[in-house]
Amino acid sequence: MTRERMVQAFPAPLVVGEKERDLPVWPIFKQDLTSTTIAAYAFESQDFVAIPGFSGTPFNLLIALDPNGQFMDVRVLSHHEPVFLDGLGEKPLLTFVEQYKDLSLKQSIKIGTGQSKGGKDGSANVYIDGVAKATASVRILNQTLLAASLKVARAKLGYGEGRDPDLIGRIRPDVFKIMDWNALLKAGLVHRTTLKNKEVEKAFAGTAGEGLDAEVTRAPDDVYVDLYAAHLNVPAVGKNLLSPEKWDYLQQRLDPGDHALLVMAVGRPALMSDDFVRGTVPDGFTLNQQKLPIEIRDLDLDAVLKVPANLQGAQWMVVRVIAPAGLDPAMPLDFQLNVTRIKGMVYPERVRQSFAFGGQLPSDYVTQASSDQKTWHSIWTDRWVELAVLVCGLAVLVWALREPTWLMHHPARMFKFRMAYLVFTLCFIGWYAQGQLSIVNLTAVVQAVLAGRSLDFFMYDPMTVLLWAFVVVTFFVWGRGTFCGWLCPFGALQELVSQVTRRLGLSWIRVPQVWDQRLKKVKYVVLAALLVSACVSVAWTDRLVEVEPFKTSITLNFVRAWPFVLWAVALVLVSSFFYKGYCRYLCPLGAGMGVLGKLRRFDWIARRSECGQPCQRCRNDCAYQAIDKQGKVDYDECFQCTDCMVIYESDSLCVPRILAQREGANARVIPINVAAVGPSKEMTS
Amino acid sequence: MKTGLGLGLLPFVSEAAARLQWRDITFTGLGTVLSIRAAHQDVVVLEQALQQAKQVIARIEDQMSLFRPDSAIRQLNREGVLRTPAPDLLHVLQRSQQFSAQSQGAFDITVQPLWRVFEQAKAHGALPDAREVAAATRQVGWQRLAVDAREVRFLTPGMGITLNGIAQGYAADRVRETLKQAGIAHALINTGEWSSLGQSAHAADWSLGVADPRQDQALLGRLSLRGRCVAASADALCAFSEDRRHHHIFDPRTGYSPTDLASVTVAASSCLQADALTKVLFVAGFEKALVLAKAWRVDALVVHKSGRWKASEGLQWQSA
Repeated sequence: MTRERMVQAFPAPLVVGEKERDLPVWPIFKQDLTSTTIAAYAFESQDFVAIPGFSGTPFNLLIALDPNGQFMDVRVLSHHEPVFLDGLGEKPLLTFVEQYKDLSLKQSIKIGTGQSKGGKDGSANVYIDGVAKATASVRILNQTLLAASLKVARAKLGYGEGRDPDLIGRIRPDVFKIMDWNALLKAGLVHRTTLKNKEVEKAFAGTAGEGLDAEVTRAPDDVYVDLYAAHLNVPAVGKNLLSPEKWDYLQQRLDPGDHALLVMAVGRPALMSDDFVRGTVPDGFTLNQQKLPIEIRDLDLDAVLKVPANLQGAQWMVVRVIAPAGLDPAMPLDFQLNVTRIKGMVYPERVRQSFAFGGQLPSDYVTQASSDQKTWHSIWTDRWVELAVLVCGLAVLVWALREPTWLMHHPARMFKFRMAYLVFTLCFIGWYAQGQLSIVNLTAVVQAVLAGRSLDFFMYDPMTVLLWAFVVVTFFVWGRGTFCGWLCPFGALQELVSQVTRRLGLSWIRVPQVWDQRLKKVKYVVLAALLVSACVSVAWTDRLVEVEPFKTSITLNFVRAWPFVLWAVALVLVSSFFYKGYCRYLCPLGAGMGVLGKLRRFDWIARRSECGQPCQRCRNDCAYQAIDKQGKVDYDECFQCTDCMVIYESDSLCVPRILAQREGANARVIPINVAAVGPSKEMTS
Repeated sequence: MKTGLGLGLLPFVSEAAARLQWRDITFTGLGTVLSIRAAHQDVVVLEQALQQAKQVIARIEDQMSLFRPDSAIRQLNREGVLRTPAPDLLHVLQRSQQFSAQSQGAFDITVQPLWRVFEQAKAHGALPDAREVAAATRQVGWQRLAVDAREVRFLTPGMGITLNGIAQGYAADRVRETLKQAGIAHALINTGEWSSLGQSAHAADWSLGVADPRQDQALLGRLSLRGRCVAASADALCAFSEDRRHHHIFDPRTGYSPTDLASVTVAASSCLQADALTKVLFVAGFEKALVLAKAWRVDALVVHKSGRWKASEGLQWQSA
């Protein structure tokens, strides 16, 4: 953001200040009669966090946070969410971010899912409306907004003031076991860090402090200091180390949410200097969490610790971290021991080095920050019904593809089953649960990997994750057809429409073999173009992925700007004459699936020696033109419609079987009617 | 950490002044909101001068701000010693010590231990008890701060200094100097304290509104700068108690805030002096403040906690 754009965003009477020295934050001032005060801190989310959006590229938000932690304004500066690009359009997105205005970072902001909304007014939770069909995108936006704002809040609004208590784990008061010091160490409740003399010397190497400590230089392999750190207010630690009276006393001293941390050192460096004043901020060590400093203060606890004899004389201190500092017990404690060396007597030069110690509390002793929707976990639990239905659906598909006699021996039944499954795929997986896999998933992976971002963002969309996981397994077993023939909602739509056109008496046009072979290669070109563009330009990728009509047809139900609708409708119409033309010739996702389908380990479609020579029955019937003249199945193009498998099993459809039967029958009875031989498409689909 | 002064505008614009290009910048620093309004015929010169002014503030902050964890005085407070202090810092420290000597300790930068105990108690929504205040008061004493070009050192442990009562004034002086050197003839400088050059955009003398310390959004009156600098301190900011009895200005001798004044405004030829003297007059109290101001050869406006006020004769003051 330039100053001009900031001034546009925050016009008079607000005054845009000069960008801060330490953080990419612009103070926004308001002037009243007698003073100029800070109205808000404005910043871009991309300067603080980069959570990839659904396209693999992060949102960039302009956020104005007032000094009380309230959102004065939230705007979307840039995004690449497919659903909001010419999809639903940007309006729902803008309406969505509008809702943040006047909400506070201190509240727990949750995105309502419709069902869970209502009746929650006045609670610590605020519900804002999500955007249908864009649930993952708005959650990623919410996460981006809160993460960036928390960072600014901690830096600018004083420590922890703006920290959302929901994001902090809690120590479990109910977990307790009698343990001695060694057991505590073993359980990871007391963290021990040993510093050797040589490690300390190494840190000072090349500074004025090098070689000043004779003791260290003399015995480089000796221990310089043993450092221990522990959460004393965890019952399993505190009750085991303190007498019951002191434990009660400690509880009294701590306000709700406060932490008491024990730091112990055995060795030469002093935890506190000679002139250290009890009750103040310790000078010998500091505490950080997630790179942010946390203020600690000596609790001045006078007690006898139950520690082994060799530690009785150790120096220790219990420090308090007050609740608003936002220490998260579920995150590691990063203590730093400060060691200062002084060179010279008259005008001493001081060199200070820090050495890390501390550790993380085992997870059994903390309740993780839960119940918030800021991470993807809850979206999985929220959608468990849909996910369960999907799992059942996938199980049925696995059963069907394992060629049960109940289906394979009954062509009519198989046809009905297949149609029913495609309706399920289109209506449930596609339109209802929004589980259309897309080429965008692949380009997003490419973009996120190139930018070095994590792929966590997929987890915001459980349907997609589950489907991809299943599809990847099917690559090894059945090849690409499992997805393309059964689980792709747009594929199902095309197929169902072409069934309707057939019922209307219109016939499909079979592309001449030469052209079919050429056209089938087009989709690989499209895929290659998209992958290259994903590596090069986010903006171009946004445009190119529109070759895929999935967003228009499945995500948005054809409610979209007319050029997109025209494209999608045209593709559906074309494929009702050229059977599944989009899938076979153009679909980049299908091409990707075809490539990945090479992982297939089995030629699982049974063939006879007669197939291809001389019999061309299945080849003629294969609407995908995926069986060659020799009768070989081209698995890269096979959609697993099972037509040829049904024919194979049928005495009345498979020519070699008919002939064999006829020969057998001739021996006994002369049939009155000979079964029809030749191409028949009645049972194809 | 004080304000209470606002910008006064008069509705006349002369033709000569109209050719000037005016720029405003507002930013945060020294624990407050700073702003500079300046004019020059050449926008490039003007922008450069303002950037230089910002750098001056940044350098002062790095030395003297308690709000920056890595500043020189934070290091001094942490370690009790600071070797080869930067020339700016040394100057401010030496001037501070002179004010302390001349005011017999009414101005004292070593009051930081008092601020610490009040701030610590405030974190728990309380005031420190008398013993704590007495203990902190024993750690206050400008005579036990050794300042020379080689090092700054606390002579007893537990001491601490704050330059919040003088650094803003010094910053205003330095910014004024910087702008002047850059060829700026007209400017109004607010670093928490006020300083000016030339005239306002209306070709009139710069004038400031003085806030009523007891009424939000009300002015007590107007003050013409006439080339002088103005500093103000009030009990309203950084108060440790609701009744504003306890606030950020301490009487170094008692350990508590002076009891009778609500605000002090001082006009002087240097902002550093004006800033330091607001504390001296605060400690002196309503009765003695103006006499003392005269002795220091500055003008002042003092407002009693009851709302009564008085101003010295030389102050270009117009009450509302």
